[in-house]
Amino acid sequence: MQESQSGARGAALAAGTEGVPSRDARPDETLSGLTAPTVLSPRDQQELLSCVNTARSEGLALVVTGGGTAMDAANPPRALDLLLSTRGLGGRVDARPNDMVVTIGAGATLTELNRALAASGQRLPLDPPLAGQATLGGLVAADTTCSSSAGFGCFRDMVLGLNAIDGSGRELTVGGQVVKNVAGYDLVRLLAGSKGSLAIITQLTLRTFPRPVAALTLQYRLADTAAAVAARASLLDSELSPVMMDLLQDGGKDSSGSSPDNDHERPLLLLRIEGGNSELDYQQARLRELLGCAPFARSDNPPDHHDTLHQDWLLRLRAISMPGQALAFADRVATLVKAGGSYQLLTHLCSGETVIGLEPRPPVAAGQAPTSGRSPGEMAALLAELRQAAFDYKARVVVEQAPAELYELVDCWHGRPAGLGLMRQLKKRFDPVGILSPGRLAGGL
Amino acid sequence: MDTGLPCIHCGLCLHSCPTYRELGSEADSPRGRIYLMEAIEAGEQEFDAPARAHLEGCLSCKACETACPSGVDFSARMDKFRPRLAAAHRLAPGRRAALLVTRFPLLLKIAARTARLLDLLGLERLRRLLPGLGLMPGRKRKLRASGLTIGSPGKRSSGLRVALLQGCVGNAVAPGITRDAREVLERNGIAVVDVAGQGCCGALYAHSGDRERAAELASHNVRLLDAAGLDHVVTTVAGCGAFMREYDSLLAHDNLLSGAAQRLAGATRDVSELLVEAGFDPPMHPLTDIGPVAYHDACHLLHGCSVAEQPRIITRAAVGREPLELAESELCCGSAGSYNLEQPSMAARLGRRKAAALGASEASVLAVGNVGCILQIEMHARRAGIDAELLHPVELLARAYREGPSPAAASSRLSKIRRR
Amino acid sequence: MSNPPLDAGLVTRLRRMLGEEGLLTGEAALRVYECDGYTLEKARPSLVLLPATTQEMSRSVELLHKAGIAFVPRGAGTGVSGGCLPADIPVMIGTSRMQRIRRVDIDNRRVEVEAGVVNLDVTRLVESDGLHYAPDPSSQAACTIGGNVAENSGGPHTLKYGVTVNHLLGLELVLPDGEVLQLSREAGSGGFDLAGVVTGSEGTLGIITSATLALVKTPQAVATMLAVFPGVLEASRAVSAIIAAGLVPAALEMMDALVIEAVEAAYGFGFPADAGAVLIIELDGLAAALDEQCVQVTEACNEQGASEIRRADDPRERALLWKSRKRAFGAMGRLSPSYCTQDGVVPRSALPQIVERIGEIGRRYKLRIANIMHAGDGNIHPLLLYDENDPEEVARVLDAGRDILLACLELGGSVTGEHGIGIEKTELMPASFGPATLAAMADLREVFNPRALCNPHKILPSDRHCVEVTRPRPRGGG
Repeated sequence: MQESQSGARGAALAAGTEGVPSRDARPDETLSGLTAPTVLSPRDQQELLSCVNTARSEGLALVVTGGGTAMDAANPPRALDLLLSTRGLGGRVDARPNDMVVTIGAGATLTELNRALAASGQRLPLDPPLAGQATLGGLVAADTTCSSSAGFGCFRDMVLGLNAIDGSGRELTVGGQVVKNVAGYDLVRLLAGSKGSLAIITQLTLRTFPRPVAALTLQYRLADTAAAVAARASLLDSELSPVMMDLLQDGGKDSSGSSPDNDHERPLLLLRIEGGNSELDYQQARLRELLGCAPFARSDNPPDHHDTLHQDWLLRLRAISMPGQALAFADRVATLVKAGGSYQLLTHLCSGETVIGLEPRPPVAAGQAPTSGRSPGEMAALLAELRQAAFDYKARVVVEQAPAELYELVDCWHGRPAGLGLMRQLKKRFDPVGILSPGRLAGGL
Repeated sequence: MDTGLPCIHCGLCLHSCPTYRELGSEADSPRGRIYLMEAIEAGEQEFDAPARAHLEGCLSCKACETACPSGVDFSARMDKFRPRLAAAHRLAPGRRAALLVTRFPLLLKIAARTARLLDLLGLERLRRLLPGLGLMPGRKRKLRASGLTIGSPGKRSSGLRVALLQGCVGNAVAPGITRDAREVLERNGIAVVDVAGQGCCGALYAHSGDRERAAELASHNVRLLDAAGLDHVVTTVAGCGAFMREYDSLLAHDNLLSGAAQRLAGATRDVSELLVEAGFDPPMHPLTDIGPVAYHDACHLLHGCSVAEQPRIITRAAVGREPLELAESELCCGSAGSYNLEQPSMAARLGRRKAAALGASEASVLAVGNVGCILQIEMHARRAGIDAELLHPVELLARAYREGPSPAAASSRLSKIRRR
Repeated sequence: MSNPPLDAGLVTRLRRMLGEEGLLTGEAALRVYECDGYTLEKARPSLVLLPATTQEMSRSVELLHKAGIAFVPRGAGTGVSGGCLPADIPVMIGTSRMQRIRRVDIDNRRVEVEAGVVNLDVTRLVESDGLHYAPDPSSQAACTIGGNVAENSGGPHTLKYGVTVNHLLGLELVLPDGEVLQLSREAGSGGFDLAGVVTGSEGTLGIITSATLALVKTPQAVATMLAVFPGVLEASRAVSAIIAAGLVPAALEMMDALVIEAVEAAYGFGFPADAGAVLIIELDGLAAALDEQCVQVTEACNEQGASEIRRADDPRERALLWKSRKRAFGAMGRLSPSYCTQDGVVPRSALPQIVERIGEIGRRYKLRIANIMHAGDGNIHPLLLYDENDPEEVARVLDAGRDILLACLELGGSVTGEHGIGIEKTELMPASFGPATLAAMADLREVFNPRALCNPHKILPSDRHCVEVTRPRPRGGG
């Protein structure tokens, strides 16, 4: 094993995880501003179990990582001794297209899964950011919101069953392999969205769906937010159900949004429609009627706006509100952030979530330091201001990505969830020693 | 008596039951009542006052039979049990009075006129709170039908000969409905013959557990009406119509009359049912100016006779638009024959519930195909300060005919409305 | 069996709070709570509480908790696995008087209703806005939302639309100690999905007093098709063929010859007398898509030997077809004095195998077994016909039912798709899950319900299972 791990605990870890590939963390492999000394990459359930058992007996704090796309979207852990990568738990894909079900290792990425399913005409229709990097285990653990959640729901809705190892070293097989199953307590619900703080997901059985005959991304440039509100209303009231209904808004001085028509001050409505050819024709014609204009861009490919939002901004927040309030709150957010520089807002019109990109990442090629960014103190003040404003909209604002210093100043979570007492007890039951991401969740969970 | 298929305890009837909806107690649901009856019959459950109260709470509205997937004949089970209920304690004073009054319609007429007098003195709000008198029809309901007749039938004739069941309570308190029904039928070429000597249909007795007396009354009517050579017997009161359709099973063991009873049961029609079946002329001038109109299903029409569409067709034709539906329209109003005399507290709760639904609908006219419901809903609407007019669909149709030009002109230009 | 009487002081306090209509005592009122739709076992509560508000519920539960008295929640009592059987549970708490609609929020596509509101009434509330509540269990005209959440109910349309948990946005839950929690399933809470965990927990984690439900757009067009097959095997293969064609029907239901016979006797839809099996296939979505999809369905069915394919375009015909299907359980009374419904799941592609296995089991135990299936979901409902006056046959029914469920597990399925474990199937849990997973489930329950006062002895096998087992009686479901 590696030399960087020092002291008795390091030795014990090395002994307990003999044979498990390990390495030092890369400098960019941080989570919420911290760096783990060691990264372990177990290749199967047994190796993972030995890692967990060692951590348990030695009291080592670990954070599970998949593709590393959501590592900053939680508070820093109270302690961090190692990073446990599930990337090695990809393995065999067992696709059963006639059952519309697939079983796959948690370390596989969504792109890998969909590539494997393509041959049988199936797919998992969600489109999280950075799908080529994010692992399925991570996506389920984070219950990442997608643009196509408008049409297909969340990751948690896709999970039929899973295997996991909890913090006490129990190997759990929960849910099942069939699309309908109410046998016993649904531990899938407990683990989906628990962000690796109760158990480590090793394998998933997921619902799949047939690939559509055709699909189209349509982009509309709207006059202003009022037009966006009207567009949302008429889409909801219509017979149409686009699988994606996103609104993208760029703003602030020195706007850097990469808009194809150089008209980025105005909101961009992104819709994706699917179906047979005649269905697509009908939908396009109806959209023209409903929105009163033709799309300025049309493409077979899904858009990449969600990806770029993840890559282009140093500070990324997420506002969660009722869908009907989302655009009003986004407007309020815009007025509060625009003085501080450029920004980008992506509102999922169906779920009511708005991703807020602030502090543009300097272009790597230019190699220059950011010219005029907010200081961590200013960011914290802005966050407080946004959260105060959120009160009027019954919204919440959480931090998904930020410069390291900000994590010392703010709580990534906005308020405490109801039932925190129960959650703490659940945490004790499933992770009695507190080795899994201690303190990452709300209320020190 | 055949009580049909066994109850499988699925519970699908629960939400259809008005008393369960009000109380939320399983013993006041159809499934609970069947369970109790079976336990009592098996000697497992004492037939005590609480058990009796749960069973007596049943409105006999038959909504549970519509809801039941298994074809359980709840009414048959209940009717079979009613003699035990009646034997277990003396008939409540209310029901006794009601039964008595059915033999002396004059008493009802006097009550109706007293009520009218009080109303003329401006005391309707007070009068509505009185027992008995509260139920009597209000000012708007003419005791005597309008002097205006609709006019002689058009040239054509349907060739049908029918008798109108005179009924007992209905005819006494709302003679206008019977009169309007007659004129509307004649207006559409259906000959209405008078069959003198008709009596009560017997439903009230059967529902009180006195099946013998009910059978006596039924026999009388069967003899009388079967001999009259009619195509149909037409009712304007849902409860009578539903019960007459059961004459065949009631008199099944009567060797002399079973055939006639079967014929009569098959020939019984609600007035709206017959009009739609035989075809009727839509009025030239539908009542488009009378404000929002709603239709409410009388239980014994909907659940007892499966007549839901026809009164709506009549109402639609009379008012020239689709009638509104009340919320919880499938729920009994609490009238239920003499239930509102027997179980005044539950009847009042259901009446208030129905009045509230009527108020929420903002209808200014509510069409209901049963006089009992009309009186009950009207009383509770007045008490709640809701000023909607309660009318039988056939009254609405008659009014529309009267307000239009003469039928000769109308019938030549308008095609008949028939059931699709 | 009866539970022991309760302390009079406690009853007085509860009565003072709940009023006469909120507290039921006496033999007649309590007797009827002996069982729900599952009539195989019976137990009578000593007291039934019917609180009308969350506050009354919370106070009642708190008093019982302080007194250490076990209680069981009950919705409409339409469950078919004995989930609300008061076995060794003195107090039953019904939600039937909690019927308020708290919020109808069309703009946000959601409603908040109290636990006692009936499933179908939610859709009635919003259908004029072009919306509906998607989960549609066969008992939807009577079953309550509280019960639906507790059972994670499905229905014929879950194939496309998912089950209750997929439409749940939040819950109000009274914990077993009386504390009231408002649980949201919104993203970004930084906690666990407790509302999701409570869904399907069969009333063992607390009492649900209200739920916030997502509403779904009512499709522009619906095509309901009926395909007739010579036998169940052909129909099962057609199900796979339809899925293989890339279609996701809104519903895909199967009935076999025995069921068709009963349904025809009850509702007279006009199924062919010689049909070995029928599929009801419902497609929905944009009108522009349906004709093409109907052609695909027709081709798939024809390839598998369908003798007749009909499309029910008339809404009345469609309604009658669905009535025939949804009320098929009730109609079975016309074929047999008693029957017992089982509920199991297999992978959809294993339908032909399970059908063969059920046939074998029927022959082995000399029983007539009818089959209704949510075929699209692989959810089977074998109906075991018997005569309850034949105790030896009753025993065979119980054994055959267990064998069918074990066969489902062997084929990679589950012992229950929608009826729940309740008290009926606790003994099958060890066959379904390993000891570690069962221990984790027990942990979960202990966290919510540490003193085991809220609906004990359900879901997980327990050392005591002391109820009076009577003869099986007919029951519905699905």
